[in-house]
Amino acid sequence: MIDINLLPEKLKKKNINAEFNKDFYYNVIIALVIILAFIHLLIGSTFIFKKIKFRNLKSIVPKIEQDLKEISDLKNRVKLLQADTSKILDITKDRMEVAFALNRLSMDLSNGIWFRHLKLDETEFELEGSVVSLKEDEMSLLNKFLTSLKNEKNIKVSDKLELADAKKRNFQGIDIIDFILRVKIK
Amino acid sequence: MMKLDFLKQKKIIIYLLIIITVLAIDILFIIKPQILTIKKISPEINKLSADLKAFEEDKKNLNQLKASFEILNKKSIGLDKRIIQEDELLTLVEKISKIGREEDVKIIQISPIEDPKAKKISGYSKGDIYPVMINIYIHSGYHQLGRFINKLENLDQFLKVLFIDIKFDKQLYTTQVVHLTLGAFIVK
Repeated sequence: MIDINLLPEKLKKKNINAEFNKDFYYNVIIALVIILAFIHLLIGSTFIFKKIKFRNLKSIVPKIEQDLKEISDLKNRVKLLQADTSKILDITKDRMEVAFALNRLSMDLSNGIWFRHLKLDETEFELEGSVVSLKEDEMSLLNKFLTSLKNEKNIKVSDKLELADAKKRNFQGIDIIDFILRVKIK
Repeated sequence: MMKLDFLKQKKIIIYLLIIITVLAIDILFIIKPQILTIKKISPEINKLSADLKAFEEDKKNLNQLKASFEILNKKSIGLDKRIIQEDELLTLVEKISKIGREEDVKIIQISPIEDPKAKKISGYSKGDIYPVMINIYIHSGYHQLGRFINKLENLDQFLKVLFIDIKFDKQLYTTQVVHLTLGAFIVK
């Protein structure tokens, strides 16, 4: 087909789109190549850097393997000993100093007071006793004894000790007070 | 004219195909393996670096670590004695009887009781720990009993008074009837 355009050159319609497209495609391709090159540079350099670092680190390991093993063994043994020690301390920490408590009880005992029954388990302490006074001040003697026991800082829960019961009875014309002291431990 | 356009379009398509192919090959065979390798070795590098850093730190503190091991070891030898081996229970009972004789405490009966319901205590490297009880019936004076219990509480082996019942005898003023239950730990 023959295309005849008789219009003057000035007025002829130029193929601007084709030129524009050509330039546009070139620019896009160049931009793509630059972006690709940049990505390659970034990833490639990271890759090489990481590879070298990894190889270097790996090469150090065999040199220190012996020391590493020794330190690791020592650390494991320390950890094991720590665990064992804390386990034993944990299960053996909770202990009532019974000998000390018995000693304190006898030391705080005034003339005129005697014990009849003493019972202690993990939940309760109970002391049954009697008090007699020729001056007829049994209750004050008992209070003094109770107060001195309550003030004993080294006996666990002694401050919570309470007079649970006190009954007066007469024995051959002498008044005797039978008492029970009690404290809940748990 | 149409043919020319068609040829141009064909050329563009071929160029596009070449570009896509090159890109695909580049991504699949160069970029992707590099990224995968980086992804794979990065955590290993971090771990190795951390290990080496820790190693350097440990090496610096090696003497301190050895010293703390020695201290712990000495401490644990003392503490280990608190928990007895299963076959040492009778030896412990014998020891209690001997202390009783020394302190003028008359032991009427002594018997270790292994509670079948007792819960084992785990987490000890030498085995499982089990609580045991030792029942003792005694005739003794109050102060002798105090000294006897004091000695028991200060033994290397752990002994704990779980229960004590003292009946102060009306007839024998200086002798008490005592029921004592001690708690100990054995390792199996």
